[in-house]
Amino acid sequence: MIRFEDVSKQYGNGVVALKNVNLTIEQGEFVAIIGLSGAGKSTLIRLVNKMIETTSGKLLVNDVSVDQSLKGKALRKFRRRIGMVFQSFNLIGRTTVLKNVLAAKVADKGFFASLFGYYSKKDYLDSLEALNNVGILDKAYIRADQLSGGQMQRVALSRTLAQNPTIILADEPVASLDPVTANMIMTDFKRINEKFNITVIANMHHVDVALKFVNRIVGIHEGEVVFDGPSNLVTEAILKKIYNRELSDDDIMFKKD
Amino acid sequence: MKKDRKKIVFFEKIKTVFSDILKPYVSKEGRTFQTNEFKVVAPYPFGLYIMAILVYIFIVAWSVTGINVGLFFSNLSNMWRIIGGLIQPNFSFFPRMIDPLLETIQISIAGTVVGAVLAVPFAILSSSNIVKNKFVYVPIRFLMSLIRTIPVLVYAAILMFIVGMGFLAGSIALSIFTFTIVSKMLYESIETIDMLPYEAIESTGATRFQALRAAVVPQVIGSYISIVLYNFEINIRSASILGFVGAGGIGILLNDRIGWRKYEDVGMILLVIFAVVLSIESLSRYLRRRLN
Repeated sequence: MIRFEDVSKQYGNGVVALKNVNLTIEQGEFVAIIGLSGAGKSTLIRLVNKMIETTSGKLLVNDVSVDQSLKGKALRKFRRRIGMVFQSFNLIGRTTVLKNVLAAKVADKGFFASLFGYYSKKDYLDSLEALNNVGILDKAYIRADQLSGGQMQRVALSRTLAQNPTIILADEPVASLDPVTANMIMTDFKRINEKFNITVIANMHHVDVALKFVNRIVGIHEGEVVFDGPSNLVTEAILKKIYNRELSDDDIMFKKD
Repeated sequence: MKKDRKKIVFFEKIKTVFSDILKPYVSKEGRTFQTNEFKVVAPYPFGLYIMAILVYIFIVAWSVTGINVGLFFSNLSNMWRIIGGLIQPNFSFFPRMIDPLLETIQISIAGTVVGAVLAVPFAILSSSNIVKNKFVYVPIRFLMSLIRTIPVLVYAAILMFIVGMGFLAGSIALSIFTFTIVSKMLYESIETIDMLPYEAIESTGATRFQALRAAVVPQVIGSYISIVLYNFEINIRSASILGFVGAGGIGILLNDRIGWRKYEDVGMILLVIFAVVLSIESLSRYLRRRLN
């Protein structure tokens, strides 16, 4: 369970990214966070694994209080169970797909095993299974920079799965993909969410993709949560409130016929 | 009449060149490009001043050092005699070269390996994208450039007082040299890598060392090997002359033969060095091309 209680975030330059956010996300939920760029979506997601620190308020993730006292070894142990997927995939292009997935296991290793890049047979099996789960097992020994965008995001997703996470944070996972590929990746997310009961929190720029795949929508406008509810309750009026304007073509991924 | 027109055209051209290139210096304003729609003023040109300063420095340097070009030409006959010896290498001299030659290659291998390994931690500590603390990487870089300013022959000469003549002095001198060059080239390579994978691995709960090993090493290992091979090429060449200061290798023999004015032997030594350097260079170039 993830619980935000009056969480605010102000950056060093004075910019207030989030204002008094209250949000409870149960284990196994699939939540999409929508809003304009700069509304605070990325900040919200990064607070969860403490890539960014909260300024005030209380944040509880899996019964761990995410605050100043969480650091060093405890923070790393906490991060082990939280996966992260990025808009630009963040793969190591110059090495194989399998090595990329194995990299998720490095955090469990001791000094010498990390130094020599040693992974156990179980690590290999876990990683291959993760690749199999998103259907790209046949690419295991291909260099990551040889893949298409959709395949790269699938590798990133397997890397996260190899971590055996309870939560996956996805920062604009399909924003740099074409509509067909985006559809497939979102289907992957949905399947993983249901199959493994992993909580998925995804920042989405494209409203229609979010509404199509995700059952709970959180709308953010200028750092404040202005909507939180099931996707079938999202109306034109609510979207106008979140976006503070009519939707433009940029906010829609699938063309209307 | 026709000739006059040609003359006029010529002077017009000179005038245009003058107003285009020199006028900005006189008028204290850069070249202006104006149409009805816009006006662009180029920044004030400094090029000509820099050129003038360089020419001035050259003239001063020439006169201060008192280079006597005449001496070169009056002693030209000496040069022909030396070249005459060099182009008739004494092949029977080869057996005496084998041991010093092997020692030269050993010195460069030892120097390259030790220097290249030591360079790795310092290259990482010099990379501003890995070590974000200015107070760490700036002093380390400064220290490295300090060590780099001293020529390898000076190191060899100093080391001879410490470890004595021969193999060891040369190897240590070359490893210091390799260390400074590899660390500089490697940190410049590390600074160009994609840091996003590093962030991704860190988000899995890995330590910075683990993220470094998993996300950075695969990106730079290729250029590291290439840098080391390139340094090996340089070291073979440097090792050949280390002997001039007594630090082992074929240079000792070369110095000796020049001293005895045995230019046929010198020619043979140069021929062999040439062959060795060339083959190692082409081998290393082949390996580096395979890497990319």
